[in-house]
Amino acid sequence: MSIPKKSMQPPRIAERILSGIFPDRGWYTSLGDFREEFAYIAADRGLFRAQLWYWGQLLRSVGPFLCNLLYWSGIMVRYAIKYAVRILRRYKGYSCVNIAGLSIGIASCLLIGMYISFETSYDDFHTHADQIYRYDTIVQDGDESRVYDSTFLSIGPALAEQFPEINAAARFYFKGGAPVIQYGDKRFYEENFTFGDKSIFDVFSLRLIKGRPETVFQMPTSIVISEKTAEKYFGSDDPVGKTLGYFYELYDMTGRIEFTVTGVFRDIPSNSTLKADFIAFFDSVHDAGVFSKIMGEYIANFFTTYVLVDNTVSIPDLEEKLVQFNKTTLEKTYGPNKTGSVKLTPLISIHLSKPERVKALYTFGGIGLMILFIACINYVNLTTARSAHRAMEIGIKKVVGAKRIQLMVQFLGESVIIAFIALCAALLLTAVMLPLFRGFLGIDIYFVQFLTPGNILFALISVCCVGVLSGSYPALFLSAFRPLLLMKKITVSGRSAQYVLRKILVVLQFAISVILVTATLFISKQVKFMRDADLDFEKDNIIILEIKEQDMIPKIEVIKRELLDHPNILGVSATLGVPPDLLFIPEKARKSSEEPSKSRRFDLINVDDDFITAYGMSLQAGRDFSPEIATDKDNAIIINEKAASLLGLTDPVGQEILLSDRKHTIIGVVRDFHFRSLKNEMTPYVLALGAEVIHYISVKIHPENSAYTLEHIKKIWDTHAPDFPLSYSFLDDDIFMEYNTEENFGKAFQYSALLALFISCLGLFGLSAFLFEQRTKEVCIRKVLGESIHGIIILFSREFIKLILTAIVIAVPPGYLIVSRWLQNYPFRIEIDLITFVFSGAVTLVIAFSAISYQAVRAARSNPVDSLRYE
Amino acid sequence: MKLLSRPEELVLLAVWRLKDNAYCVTIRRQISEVTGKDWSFGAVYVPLDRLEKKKYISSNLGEPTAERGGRSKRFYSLTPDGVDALLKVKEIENAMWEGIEGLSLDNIA
Repeated sequence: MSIPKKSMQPPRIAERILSGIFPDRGWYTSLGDFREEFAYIAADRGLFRAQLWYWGQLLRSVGPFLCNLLYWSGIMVRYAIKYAVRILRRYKGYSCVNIAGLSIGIASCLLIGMYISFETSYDDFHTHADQIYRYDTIVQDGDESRVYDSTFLSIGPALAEQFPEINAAARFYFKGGAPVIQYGDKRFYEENFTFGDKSIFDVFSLRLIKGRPETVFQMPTSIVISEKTAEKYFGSDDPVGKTLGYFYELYDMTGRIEFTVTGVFRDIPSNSTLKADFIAFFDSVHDAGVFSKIMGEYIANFFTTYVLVDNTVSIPDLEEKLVQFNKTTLEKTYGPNKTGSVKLTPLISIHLSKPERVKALYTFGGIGLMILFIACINYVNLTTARSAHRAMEIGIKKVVGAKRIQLMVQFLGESVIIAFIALCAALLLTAVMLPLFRGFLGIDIYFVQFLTPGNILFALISVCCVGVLSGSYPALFLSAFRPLLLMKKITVSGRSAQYVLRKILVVLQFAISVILVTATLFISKQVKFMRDADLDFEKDNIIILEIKEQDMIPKIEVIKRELLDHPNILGVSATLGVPPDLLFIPEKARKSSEEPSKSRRFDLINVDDDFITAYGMSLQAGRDFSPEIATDKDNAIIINEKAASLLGLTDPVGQEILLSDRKHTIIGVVRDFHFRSLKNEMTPYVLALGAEVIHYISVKIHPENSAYTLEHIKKIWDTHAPDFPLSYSFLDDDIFMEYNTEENFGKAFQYSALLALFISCLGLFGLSAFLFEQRTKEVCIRKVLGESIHGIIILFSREFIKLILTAIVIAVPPGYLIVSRWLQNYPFRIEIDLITFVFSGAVTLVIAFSAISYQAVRAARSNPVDSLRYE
Repeated sequence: MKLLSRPEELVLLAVWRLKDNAYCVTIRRQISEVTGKDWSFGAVYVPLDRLEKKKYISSNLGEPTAERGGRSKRFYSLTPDGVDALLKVKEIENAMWEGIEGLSLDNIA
């Protein structure tokens, strides 16, 4: 028989595939069979038919082949699981340490992930979330341009009318402060009260439980309320048709509107920019003439306007058109010289437009990953350390014929299984921790809302990744052993690569922990520093009473006098604003000799003549305001040192300066005071008398018997303002709360530092257990030869202590960088001192040592006979 | 003892008939010719493997040939057990057929 021509051979690829899936015990006789048949068919019916036949044969075998593969790999997986479970049971201690560490790591990642997904999911519950934009106005005032997240009254309706690409526009009016809402004898201050257009139901996805969107806003005095508000005011009664009293005050107008509840909407989720429990029909106040009155006097651009844009529209083009529109509309209303621009801000981007929120997300995301990383390190370290125990197993498996890939699959399988067990434990842990976490962050997140198929899939995939990642080193490492060495029980010597790697990983773990601990210490120091700092006024024993009704203003003098009659009340001052969020009027200040262009911005605070005494501020020069001197009301001002130095005045008292071109005489200088929180730079302040608008009364009391004094204040208040419940707070509390964000940030760091340290120590605990176990014989011989217990402890701890000291040293530079970066945010900040680093290092060292010493003591105290007699 | 399946029976018979030239290609061709259906290689390999496992046939490798791309043929031959099993099937079949007369399609209607 002649050798067939090359062209008479079957397709190469097909043959390759066939030989791959059908090895036929390595003889490949079947390939020969196929080839022979191919040649036969080719000779008989042509090459093409033969090739067709060959491919047909191949295709037919693919299905059964895959089934077979699945079946056998299923069996392999079953064995892998069986084996993993056996190993887990056999080495309970290791398994516990592994699973505990990993599950804590995963749980903290889950919690942080929930927080991140909560923060990034803001406003996406609206059906057309990506088509909703806020109409922001940019007002050009000279060189300064200011961005307002709101616009003018007439803009909203005109938008919907004139632009076909805008499907709907809805205006909101959020009045500052919390109005009083009354139903029968129930009366509360309500923060989430807003006025809204009819069209809010077109723009936002507010689900009405009672009432229909088309009909709820028919009368001007309609109001829709949230489910929980309905419950709060009306209990189980039907709220529809009930009336709610609303007390308003706008500048100098006060009044009461009776609103009729026409609908109830489902509570707005907490991840919403729009926060509302009451939405009153916009026309109510509009009709009462309130807005139009303001319009006459002010350029009122405080109407937050949202538009629903058609999804085919290009936003930059629309913005361009809107700028022109904005201009013409405003010119019609306010005359030609107001210029400004327009920006459409996507609703979904509003929440994260604040850089500190994004920063927080990145910070916590990073911390979560770091904790997970530390937990993974534990796994790698413990598994490689344990490898000696399993050397025999691996050796025998290899001798019997296990391929390297099979061993790798086995180890990866084990670590994935551990990761899954850890995931289950982590889920439990998360469920338990969630209420705490919720309270801590003050956000409403629930487990159920994260149980979406996407998230579950993501969790499963990431756990697989964690398993594979943490198992990959041991898998590569253990499967590479030469069987002979394994069988001869030559364990890996101290200088080997894995030993070095383990050391590096431990150092890394502890370095991260030390950084977190140090950061925590510095953050809490900074918070304490800001809270305890001398603000150059007396913040203690001052009670702040809030005035909700401007009708009271004429009575203020009487109230002040009555309050002062009480022996425990040392001072009373009525002002527009109080620290820490101060209401101020920006003023352009200059000396009369200076050009107007040289003027600088000062903040003017309206006070009364008792203010400086009540707040215990110290006058550096000049005098306080006096009721006896009539001119004080018109043009006397007191400035702080910062203002004086900015003006370049060495002896400011008696000098005249111009505030927005009006002449004022400086009658005194006070020491720089921190009315705003210490997160702000020192501001140049101007104090002036002014009593038209008053929002707060500050009452300086004697520290003793403050409860009685408060009782007295309440009595006086109730006789003068029976309609408004007394709302008061202590000034030092208010100032204390200014730093809550920082405190929470610090707490978050504290928890993560604790977790990192705990997981690292857990790993160290397991690792030391293993290493001591390996050296039991050495310990015993040393003991027999007369070494003392603490000698042994020192001997064996030394190695670990060295690692931890290295970690501490390594942690200092990045720790310093991180802390100093963070402190840059604060103009008044603490020094970064070495002591804190030393302290955090010492804390870490002590904790780590206690983790090792348990094992060391156990090893040192064991009876030599127990371990030596087996030899 | 388990009875042979029909493919196994056919394969055994083919091996017996082909004597020294019984390997997969020829076996397949033989069966395909007799039954008038195109048997795939898989349909022959499976009973061959099974029979070999049951020790009804034994196999040995031949010399590699060029026309097979340098692969050997695997020749099969019947073992005494295999012959035994075939005879047994035959016996049972005979016994089952005995006394059945006039089995034709006409009788069913």
